Amino acid sequence: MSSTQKYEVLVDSFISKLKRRQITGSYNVATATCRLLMRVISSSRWSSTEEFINLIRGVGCKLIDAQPREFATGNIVRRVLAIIRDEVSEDSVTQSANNAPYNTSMFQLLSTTHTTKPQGTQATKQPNQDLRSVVIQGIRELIDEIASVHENIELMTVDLIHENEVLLTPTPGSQTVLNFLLKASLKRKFTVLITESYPNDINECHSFAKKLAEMNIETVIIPDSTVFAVMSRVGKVLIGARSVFANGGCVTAAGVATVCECAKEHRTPVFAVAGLYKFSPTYPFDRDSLIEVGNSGKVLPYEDSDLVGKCEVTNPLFDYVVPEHIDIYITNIGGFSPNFIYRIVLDNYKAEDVQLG
Amino acid sequence: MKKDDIEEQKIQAIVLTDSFQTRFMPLTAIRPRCLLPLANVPLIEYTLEFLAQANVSEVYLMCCSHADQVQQYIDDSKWVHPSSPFTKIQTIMSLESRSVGDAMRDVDSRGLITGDFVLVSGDVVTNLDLSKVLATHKQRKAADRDYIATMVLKQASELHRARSHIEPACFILEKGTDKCLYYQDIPPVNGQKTSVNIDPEILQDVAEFDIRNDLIDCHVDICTPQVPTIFQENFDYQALRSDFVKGVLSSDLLKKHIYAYVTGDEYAARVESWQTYDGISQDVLERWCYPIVPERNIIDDQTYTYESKHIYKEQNIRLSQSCKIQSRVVIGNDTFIGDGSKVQASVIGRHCRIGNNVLVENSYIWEGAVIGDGSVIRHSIVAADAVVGANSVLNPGAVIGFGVRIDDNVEIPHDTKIVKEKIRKMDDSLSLSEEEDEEEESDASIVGPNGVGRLYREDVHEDGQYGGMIYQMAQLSVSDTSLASTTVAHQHRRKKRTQSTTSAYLSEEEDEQFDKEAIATVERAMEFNHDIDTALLELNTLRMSMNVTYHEVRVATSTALVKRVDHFIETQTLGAKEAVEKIFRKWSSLFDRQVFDNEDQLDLLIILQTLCSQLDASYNSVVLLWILVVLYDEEIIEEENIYKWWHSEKSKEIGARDRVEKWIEWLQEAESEEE
Amino acid sequence: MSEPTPATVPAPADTKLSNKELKELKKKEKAAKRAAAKVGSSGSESASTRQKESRDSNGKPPTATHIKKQLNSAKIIESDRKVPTMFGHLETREQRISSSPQIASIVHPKILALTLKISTYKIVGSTARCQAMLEAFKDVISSYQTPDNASLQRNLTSHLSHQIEYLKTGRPLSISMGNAIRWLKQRISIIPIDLSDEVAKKQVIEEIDLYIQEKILYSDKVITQFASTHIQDGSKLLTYGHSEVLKKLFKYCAVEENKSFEIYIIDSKPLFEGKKLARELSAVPNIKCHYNLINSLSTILERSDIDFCFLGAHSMLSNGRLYSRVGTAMIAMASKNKNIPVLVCCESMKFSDKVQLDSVTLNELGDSEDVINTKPFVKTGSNLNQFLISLQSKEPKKPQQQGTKKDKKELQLADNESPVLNNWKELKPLNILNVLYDLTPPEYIQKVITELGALPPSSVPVILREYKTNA
Repeated sequence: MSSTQKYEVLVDSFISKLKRRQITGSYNVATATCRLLMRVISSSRWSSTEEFINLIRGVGCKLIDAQPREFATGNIVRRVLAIIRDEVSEDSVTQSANNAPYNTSMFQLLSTTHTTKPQGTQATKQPNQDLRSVVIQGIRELIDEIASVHENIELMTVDLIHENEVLLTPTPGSQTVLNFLLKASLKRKFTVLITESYPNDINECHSFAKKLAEMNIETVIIPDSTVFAVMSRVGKVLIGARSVFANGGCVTAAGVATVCECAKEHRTPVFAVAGLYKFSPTYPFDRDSLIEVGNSGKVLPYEDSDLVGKCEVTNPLFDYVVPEHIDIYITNIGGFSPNFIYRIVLDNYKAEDVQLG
Repeated sequence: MKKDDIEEQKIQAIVLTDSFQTRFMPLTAIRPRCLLPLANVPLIEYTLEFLAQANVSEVYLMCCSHADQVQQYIDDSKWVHPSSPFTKIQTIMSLESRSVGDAMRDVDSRGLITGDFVLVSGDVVTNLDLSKVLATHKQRKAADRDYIATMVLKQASELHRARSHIEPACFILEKGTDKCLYYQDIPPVNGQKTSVNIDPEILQDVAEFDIRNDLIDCHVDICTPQVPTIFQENFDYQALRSDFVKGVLSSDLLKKHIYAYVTGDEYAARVESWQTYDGISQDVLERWCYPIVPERNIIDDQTYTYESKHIYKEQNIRLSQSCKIQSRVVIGNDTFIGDGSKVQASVIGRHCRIGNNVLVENSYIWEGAVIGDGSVIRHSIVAADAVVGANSVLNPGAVIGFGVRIDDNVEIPHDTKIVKEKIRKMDDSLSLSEEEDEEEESDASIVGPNGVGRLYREDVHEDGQYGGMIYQMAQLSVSDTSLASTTVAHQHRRKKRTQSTTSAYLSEEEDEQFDKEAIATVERAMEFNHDIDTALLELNTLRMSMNVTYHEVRVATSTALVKRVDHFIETQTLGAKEAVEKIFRKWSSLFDRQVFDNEDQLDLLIILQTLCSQLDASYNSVVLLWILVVLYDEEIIEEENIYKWWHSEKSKEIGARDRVEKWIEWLQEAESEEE
Repeated sequence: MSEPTPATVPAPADTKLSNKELKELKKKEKAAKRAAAKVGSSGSESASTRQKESRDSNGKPPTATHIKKQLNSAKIIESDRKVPTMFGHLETREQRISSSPQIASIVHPKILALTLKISTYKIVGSTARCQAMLEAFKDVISSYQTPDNASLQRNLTSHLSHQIEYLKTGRPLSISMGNAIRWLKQRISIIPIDLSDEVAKKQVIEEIDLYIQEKILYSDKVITQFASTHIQDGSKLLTYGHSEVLKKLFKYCAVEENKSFEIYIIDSKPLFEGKKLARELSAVPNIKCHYNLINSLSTILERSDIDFCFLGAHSMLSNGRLYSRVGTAMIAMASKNKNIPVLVCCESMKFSDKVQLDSVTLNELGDSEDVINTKPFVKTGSNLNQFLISLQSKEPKKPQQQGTKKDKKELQLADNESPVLNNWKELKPLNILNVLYDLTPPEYIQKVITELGALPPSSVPVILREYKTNA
């Protein structure tokens, strides 16, 4: 009992940290979620894999509810579930041939818990401890994977940038993009145009530009409004995605959707970089649920009492970019066209975990 | 305090849950201000969330009025769970406190403070990054030996909606360092011209300075442990700003420095009047205070989600097809909105029922309220469980109290506050100016024939506070009386509590000791003819140091005075009348600071009666009579209370009444003649 | 118009001149010579402003050569130029200022004031600038005295040219200003010789008044009438920045026609002109204002069913492209892609016979510092700036006075996140681009509403021809 409580405390304090935005950024959230799940798994008790899976799902639901617009949590939970299910199915395959077919998603949907439960307890009582350590090992690997995302993406730089190219990036907040460009600068000489991303990422933009310039990359900061004017001179647009959906669309910093649209108008190729942990098996049905709206004070200074309250102000932090506006995704496992993303997603997640709630 | 962790970062916070004001009457008669909902979240949550965000580890909540409710709330909240970010959260029952000063003295005498601490009031809404403030605090502390506190101020503009229009404050800050040089309250925003008087000496060594009248004072202060000590030493400090800050800055003796931290980007404001309640609610809805927004679901069981145009909905709400939710709206769980209704810039709590064709505009409808079909509600507050009938109109500024029922087809005029039950006199804050006519306000004329509720009359000077939402603010002088606001729940409990829970350490001996000391003090004062203020100060100090209730103070004072009178009569220096006149004319004003509400008056009468009854029977009732006359003349005791006292059982038991009877009769006659 | 005249084109260090630039320079010199040769011949209408101006300045030989000398000596130190190579052909503010002739002595105070206001963006928008300029010219003309042995017709134009020359140091002239100047000079040149100075001046001033009335005020009224039919009760409109005529239109619809509607104002760094519009419109009871920055454009278009997109113009070019505040093209494109009709309101005086294909070739460079600012800024005049800088450089000499306090201040500053890029100029590869205009292709524009009627962008040249023959 006490252990159950312990993991709940862990989850609760993680949730309040998420809510307070004390953990932010996909990368941090992803690793933090991994760590949390490791601790939850090691401190919780369960009697069947069924129960185990439900427990993790329950945690996943809570995390997603706490910060529905941070997709990394959900993705990681689903990845972990996939690890568990893989283990379980392997076990059950080896232990009893009867259980083998029950892992297909259709069957899962139709089968009642009544029949599966006794099977579960029977089959897994013994390897509980094994399963626990195997899953934890799996999560460790996942953490390693997340940590090495940049390196793998960087390997592809040479294929994508040619000498003296002009690149434009509207997402100076993205660490992945920064690493990509820094890596590329070792092999190629090019110019980078950076949009200011005013008002939310302006400071990120400046430090981004500074880092590039310090690496002796020709860097130009342009206001967000200037994108159309310079687009005709741009060779490629490079964006960092916050999360990628199964349909190939992605959520990224505000303003990028328009930039991609401009690129489309000028037939400029757009490529997006994203680590695998940003791929979500869900489909973006509702724009409202994707886009976080930030502090209005950044759009209009709060002191301005002439306007505050009289003018409605919105400050969306994200934008949704439709798959048609993106040419390729560069991930740590290679480059893919947007309409192939659903396959990648299928490889990494189990269909039954798409909906956690 | 308890943890000896070597955390250097351990920060303590003192939360003043009581505002010591009556601005939110009549609602605060039932619920304390810090538990009133703002965007469906009790105000205190915003403060605690802020402290949690700032990695504060220990939180002490100073509770005065409705202390039990606050304590109950905290005990049931997530903050006491093991997952709470605070290592310690404790409610301190400081029932005797009648001002910020008292609370601070209590803090000091309890020895809660171990290092620098954050002092906030329980009605702050902010997304301030406290770590930056703390860093500046540290720098200043290192740089300036006389540094004691930093006040956090938010850059705004003079007439900003989240800035108090009632007590706009003017700060003079040294340029560059933000050292506060001078502070002055300025009269409320009501078109009056005002001036700030600055002693040129203050500015003598200052190169450049700013005079700021555009800051929101959100009452978030970072203090060194010296601050409570200064309060202790200067027991006449009541208010945090107008007494403490002003006092410290203008004191030649203290030579302490207070700094300001002016924040531009972050949001910080205080819900301290209806006007700021409205302003801050709108700010929260419009996301000026991001990430403090409704969909953050500060309370665990909330399920708000954001929709474009700043609409926040919880799960399980039922909206009719044809209702129009325009923009800036919060709708709580299990609420129903009928056909053709329009909601704009409003907050609707949980379990509400809004009928068909209702117009709700810029209003706040709290949990469980019901609005009938076709009603129009503009710029108003409908408190929890109130009912507004069909086709009624609430005009701007209306406040419908808890559980009030407004009948169909009623129009509530501007700035009207309606309460369910007459707030009994003592309920009704300590404001002495309370008019006490048996206003048998026929319910029907206000709330309609089937309504429940009556008009709440407030102190004259508090009129139209709410008007700030749309109308001009009437002035509200922050007098001593309104500073010391407590309510009936508190008053009743006080006597019980003080002896038991609160001041458990108050022993009988101390009690007696106090009596002796206090009597001696008053006697000394009379003997050497001190001025009243000095005597009061001494008494107050005694009260503080011994931690006794005002009741004891009254007993002591009365005892001393009656003794003196008795002495004169016994020695036949003066007749009964003259003696009483002589003593009480002058010294009865001591009671000004000891008697605050009706109950206190009754208490005083009983005390005096008891004392008199112990005198020589030949003149005791005469003395009592003349005491009464004087107290009545000096307006320390109100007529009402004299009657009440006269008819009370207790008084009848004590005796010494015979001579008084006539006077009472005369009083009553006089009154009926007047009418 | 705003194009850099030969006089102000920078002469970059010779070694670094590209072939193209060299050619251009030569061409311009030639043009100037040709113009000089034409002195005396009365202005032909087809002559470009540029030619006219140089001719006019040549009308007074000593000054002209003097100015030219000054210009040639005004070499720009190349290392100071922080402009992306792509935009290397555009002139920075520093260049404009350093190349400006020191003729302040003959510049009318009104013009001095106006130049300052324009350069600090106190007066923005081509209409406002044009109107302010004409008003200033009225003063210039009324205080003008024809010197002996000169005729008003010739001397006044050259006098004005000096003023214009100075005016250009603030910001390049807008198309509308260019058009107005061209018109004014033409009017002056055809004043009958036998008129007395006083009468002639009075006549010119009256004509200017008439021009303002006709080309700006009445035009706006007519445009408002035309455009108001598109705004219905409950309409949702999108607009960008601040435009004089659009402001009049919205106010007219809300106040005169009593329509209530919603406006989404999109704004952008660094000028935040939209705030001005928001301030004006949020005071009008019938209008519900929304204020957003350009990065939320896609969200706005997605979420709110916008009925029309109204845009203001700096100029309509003869190939149907809209030359307007940077960002306009993006708005137009995004609106078009969402099938929202894009309407441009533009007075015909802003029409230009120029053609241009993209925003890079011809544009105006703003101050890079404006972009670096992370906060809304207050622009100081260049002279004030110089003064402040000189003050700052002097400052370190007397810091002891306040010793500890100063330190503290600095400490605090360091704490309050000093801007990452406050020393961006030292980072060689880093550039900041702040162009003020962009070009919107005609495909995005549904129609252009002028006082002469509403027409598709392809009809701009038609109007130009009509308008010229009428004038």
